[in-house]
Amino acid sequence: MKNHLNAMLLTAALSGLIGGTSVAAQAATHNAAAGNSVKAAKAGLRYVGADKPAKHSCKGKNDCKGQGGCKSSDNGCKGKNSCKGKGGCATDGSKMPDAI
Amino acid sequence: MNLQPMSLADLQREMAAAVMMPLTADEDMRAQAPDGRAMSEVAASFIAPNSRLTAFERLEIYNRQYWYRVMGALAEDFPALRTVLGRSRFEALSIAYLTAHPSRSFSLRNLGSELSAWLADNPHFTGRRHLLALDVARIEWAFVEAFDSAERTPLTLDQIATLDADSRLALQPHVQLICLNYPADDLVLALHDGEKRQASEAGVKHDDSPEAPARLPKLRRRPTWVAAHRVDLAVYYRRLQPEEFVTLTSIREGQPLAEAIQSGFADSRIPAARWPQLVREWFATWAELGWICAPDLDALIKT
Repeated sequence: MKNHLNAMLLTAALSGLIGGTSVAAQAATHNAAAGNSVKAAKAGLRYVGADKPAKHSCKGKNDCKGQGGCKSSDNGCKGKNSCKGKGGCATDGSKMPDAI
Repeated sequence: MNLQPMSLADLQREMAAAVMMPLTADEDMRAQAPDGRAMSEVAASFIAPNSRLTAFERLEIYNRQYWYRVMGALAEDFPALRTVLGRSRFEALSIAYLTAHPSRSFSLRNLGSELSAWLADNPHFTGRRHLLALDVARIEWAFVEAFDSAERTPLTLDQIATLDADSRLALQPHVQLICLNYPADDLVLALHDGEKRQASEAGVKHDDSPEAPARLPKLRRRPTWVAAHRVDLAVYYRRLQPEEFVTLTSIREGQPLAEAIQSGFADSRIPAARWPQLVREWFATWAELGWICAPDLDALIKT
């Protein structure tokens, strides 16, 4: 009985894999836009790319950089930072979306 | 001038230790190094003063900038956690965490990688909202991982045709499985949404988050299973059934396919008659989302 159930579960898993993979392949080849929306519907709740300033855009930047203000010689940027509070430095090179 | 000759490696170590040393409550550089040396002497050993600034003051600029930058980066990756705890508690937590886990990577992206584990061991930083804070931190870190972790080629029909009970599969690296104490995924989405609206209404977002923890809707503690993952460069949160979560976890751990499925139902209250239908639906959805891939093509494709 147990072996029979396990065999049914394995068959179910494989048939599910075949079905899902076929749907994904069809969507990719025939109608990418429609396929993506069906896929998105199954994906759950989405975060979308947003209108916020590009995240990470200030990596390696600084109010002072290139303006001489960061030189220890004049202490011009003491306590300042263009990134502070904007958080743009957390990851590399790409825009992080916000929640909707 | 007390400048002393030292190797480049020693100079870098000395500078890094000084720059990464926590600031005082007034955001100044500390007067004493952890080893007891006066920081004025440490600074003078490798930095020359100028006409306006002492060596200490010149080093202090870098010490401050390091902390402003890493604190800002951490706050950016955990905005909901900051809202749940309030700004002052979040800042205290950030300083303690970043002291225990200073930046070690070329990228600030990895700064929060240990935060959830560290929070679990340091509940006094989160107070009475500890379990909720832990959930929120896990969700927000899962977002970072799902956002930029690798994406591999999903299983093909040819590969599926070779599978049997003993086959071992793998999950997409960007699929993040999270087990929560509360249904905190909805809360995090709502908090992020609120923050986004605030930012767009204000035009430019400033660091004006409230000092005190936010008033939150009453959440009932309820185990919740979630997968954070990426579809077409967007991150999604998908609720999972507990059996589904365990099966996915077992697949990720490398259990043979049949065992992974059985482990999913080990403690299940779902009648066995419904299991095959559920398994078919799960695997179809996972395949459609591209979650399942091969751990090792050579091992999977039997010749």
